[in-house]
Amino acid sequence: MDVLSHLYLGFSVALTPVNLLAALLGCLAGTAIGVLPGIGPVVGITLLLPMTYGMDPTTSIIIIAAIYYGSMYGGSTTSILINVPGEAASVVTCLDGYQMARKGKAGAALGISAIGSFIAGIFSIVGLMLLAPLLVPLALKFGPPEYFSLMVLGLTTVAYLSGGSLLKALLMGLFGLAVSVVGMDALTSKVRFTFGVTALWNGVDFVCVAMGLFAIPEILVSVEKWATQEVFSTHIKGIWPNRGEIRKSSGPIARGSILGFFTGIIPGGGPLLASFFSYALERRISKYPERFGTGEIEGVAGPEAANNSGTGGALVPLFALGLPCNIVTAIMLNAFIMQGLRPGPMLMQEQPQLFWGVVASMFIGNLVLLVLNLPLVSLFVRLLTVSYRILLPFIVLFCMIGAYAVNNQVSGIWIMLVFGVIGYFMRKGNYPATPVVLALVIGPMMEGALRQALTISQGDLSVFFTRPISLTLLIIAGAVVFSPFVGKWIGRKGKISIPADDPNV
Amino acid sequence: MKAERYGALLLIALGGLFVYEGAKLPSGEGGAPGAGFMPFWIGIGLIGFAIPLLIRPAGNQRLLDVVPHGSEGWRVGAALGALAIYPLILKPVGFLLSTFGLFLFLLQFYRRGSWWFAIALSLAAVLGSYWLFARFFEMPLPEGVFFL
Repeated sequence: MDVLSHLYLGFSVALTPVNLLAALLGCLAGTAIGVLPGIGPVVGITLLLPMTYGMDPTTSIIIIAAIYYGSMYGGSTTSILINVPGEAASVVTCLDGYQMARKGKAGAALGISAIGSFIAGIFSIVGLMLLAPLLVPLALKFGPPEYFSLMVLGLTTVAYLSGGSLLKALLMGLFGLAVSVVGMDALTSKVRFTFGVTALWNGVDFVCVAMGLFAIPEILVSVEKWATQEVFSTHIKGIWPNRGEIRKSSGPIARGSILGFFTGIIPGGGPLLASFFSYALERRISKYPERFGTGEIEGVAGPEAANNSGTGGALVPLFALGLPCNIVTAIMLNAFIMQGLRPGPMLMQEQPQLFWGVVASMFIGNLVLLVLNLPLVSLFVRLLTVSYRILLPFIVLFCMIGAYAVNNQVSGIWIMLVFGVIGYFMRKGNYPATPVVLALVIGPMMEGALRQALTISQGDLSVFFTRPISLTLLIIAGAVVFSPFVGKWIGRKGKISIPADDPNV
Repeated sequence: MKAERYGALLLIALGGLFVYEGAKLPSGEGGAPGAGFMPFWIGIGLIGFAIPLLIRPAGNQRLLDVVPHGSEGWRVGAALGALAIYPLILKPVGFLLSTFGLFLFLLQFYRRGSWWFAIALSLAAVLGSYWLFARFFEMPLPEGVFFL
């Protein structure tokens, strides 16, 4: 009954005209962002983030969340039609989705993708609204040592799952922490690492860094390689799968929903990892695994369900613990902070309308996306005919305006460009950018928790090891860091192979 | 030398900077860490994790694999140059003119096409974005000396 009354509160918030419009616009923008290759949810949300600063906190989070799960819907369109994932979590959909399109079954693939995404989206929202409040009593037991250890775990796990070299990923996490200390120290007002540049007194803005590390390198690499994009045009005949295809898809959708949700909760997990896990699972349990990659509908249904379910799972640690577990939730955390809010157990108790308003809005948003994606798929496909020659200046335009809008100063643009150059070389040198951005967001909280913990214990470091929750979290973090070495030592490969540094997780 | 060793050296230098500057800041007293505590240990961490990368790089890239050169280098340099000029002229020249110039350059630089189309699209994009951000979102965009 308590959940129902909260849900009623949530719908009363979500059904206001402003929030309904926000959900609709977010879904449309997210779908378009997902359809357009090269502009994933991270870049898209970062570009639009400055526009949300003047909005009500609930409205701004509704828009960002709608763009996030909307992009998961849109990303499958290009995977199926042109074998190019619109965003990273739809990579796996290319394997069988494109093959289905080549066999003339593009409509069925798109249809089951949208239906599976809807069912999984609803499942993840139910999971979010049931699980997040359950974590609140546990989260209330967290003191500064536990929060510090939790953030250490979050960073190390994200580094581990970034793909590529773990050492490079850990270094990038430390680099992000280094950037986070630039500016005025919150506790002592000492100015740190500004070297006389007054624009840095308030620190390095997250939006500028995120655009610099993700959007600018994409532009520079495209210019460098003179990248072209071919469009596959096809007449889409019918978007409803037949009865047999629905029957074959129901199991993968159910399994993908559950797998995706719990994978999304893991720091560094999220939709990308969820989609890979789901594909691997469906192939493993299939009677005909050799058919995967030739146009099996299970290879589309499962991963698409998993990547959508992962979005809801990723919101659980953000709302319950105040811990972002991927880039998008780190952006959401930044949006909260810009609004003067701190997500976590206290916020869920003191401002339940925010959490439940977002939950209710996600129900509405998923329904909107199902209604939009099926009839409007042809329209979204037309976006693919826009050449990159035209898209590129628009991306730059939004980046410049977004960076300027941070403080209405050109210093924001300069910071973005500096990090753009850094991000370009990071990309060429296979240094993942995800840990940098995550560390930048949680760095101040991590430092605050560390200093509070040591102040309480009067400098005694054992405070992190004598408290059970903190010790457990640090042991898990240590296991994550040292597991590749242990795996090599006992002759097994323990690392999951995923594309290195996919920010759109 | 492998490219990763250059990266490792840069990170070691950054770590050294943080150790040096962090040590200059107050480290705290009475068990309460000061402003220099976290930067100092971040610096130690950067140096500690970068040294193994310096000794044994993870990959085989050479420097020229990472740094663009030849025609690719010119293209990246030109694009970066255009991006860098924009903030320099934004306030003196104003949003409309400077953004029009940048948009037109990028449009024709990436894939040269019809100039009339490029000018028309650039105008539409700049005016549309001005309406959206300056009028609708009431963002104070610079007017410049021409009040444009």
